[in-house]
Amino acid sequence: MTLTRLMARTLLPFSLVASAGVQPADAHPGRYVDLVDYPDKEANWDRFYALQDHLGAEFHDLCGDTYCEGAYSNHVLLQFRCSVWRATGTVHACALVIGAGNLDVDTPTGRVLPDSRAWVCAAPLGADTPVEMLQAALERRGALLRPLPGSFFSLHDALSDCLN
Amino acid sequence: MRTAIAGVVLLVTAWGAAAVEANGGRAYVDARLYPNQTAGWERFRAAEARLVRGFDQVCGDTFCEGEYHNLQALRFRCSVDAATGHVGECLWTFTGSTARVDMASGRIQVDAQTWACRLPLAGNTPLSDLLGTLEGEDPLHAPLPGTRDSIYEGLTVCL
Repeated sequence: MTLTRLMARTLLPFSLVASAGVQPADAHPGRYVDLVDYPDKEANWDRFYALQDHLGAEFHDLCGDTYCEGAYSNHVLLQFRCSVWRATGTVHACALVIGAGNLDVDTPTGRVLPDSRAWVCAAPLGADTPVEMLQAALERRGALLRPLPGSFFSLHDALSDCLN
Repeated sequence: MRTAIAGVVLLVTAWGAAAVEANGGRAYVDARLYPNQTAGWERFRAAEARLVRGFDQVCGDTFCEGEYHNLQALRFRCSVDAATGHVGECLWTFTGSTARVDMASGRIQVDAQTWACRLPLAGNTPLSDLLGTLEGEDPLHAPLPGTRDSIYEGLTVCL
């Protein structure tokens, strides 16, 4: 009875190192913070989630002519997440989480065969990008297509590599 | 060259016929193509869109209150026995994720998952009956034809 969980817990072993320069050797508790919680706990909540929604809309608009023309045509941006080096207020890493999937009918058996995937794509950040500079850049229209501050590469460049 | 292509086509056709024969002569098609693409496509896609709207409306207070708050429906597809019009099976796929920052290392730890949920259909459910249910007032909560189970109840197990 009820729905059967077929591919539940297709856990993707992501523990993403989203940019070069992660130095576990000098890591100690509390050195980094989620961008949502910078400068204080949940202080950036509204602005960050508005930014995530904005990037999701930009991704949706761009997808049809780019990533969504490949093997999968229904990519969704699930999450955007960044870590901040608390002491300097610079962005350490950002990741975009994308999901997509196909379902195909196996003609002889009638089975509907799932092929769903999720990706974690690292943002090609410039070195020592201040939080405000990154957020302001990503809040603009066409944010995915513009090079990130201090970088030669855009989020679109990174997504093109990551999703293909 | 033409002979070679014809040979491949014949081979594929022969393989397909053998596979159908091995399955008691049944052949299934995507429900969007039943009884043909012209008649099936828009009706099925409209039903899928209604399901997705229903899911989005309830997710915030139900499935999205758990570990994965950003669940998204990906695809809904059914197979249909081309000869009888009975549904073979239907799957509805979802994706969702959760992420956290490791405060010691700055790493972003992501747990991204996908789910494929099978509808609890009664045997020999006519596609037209299923679509009729999905076109009703509340397709997510309506009992599926010939059962007491709704899609919503099933999703609570699957997700």
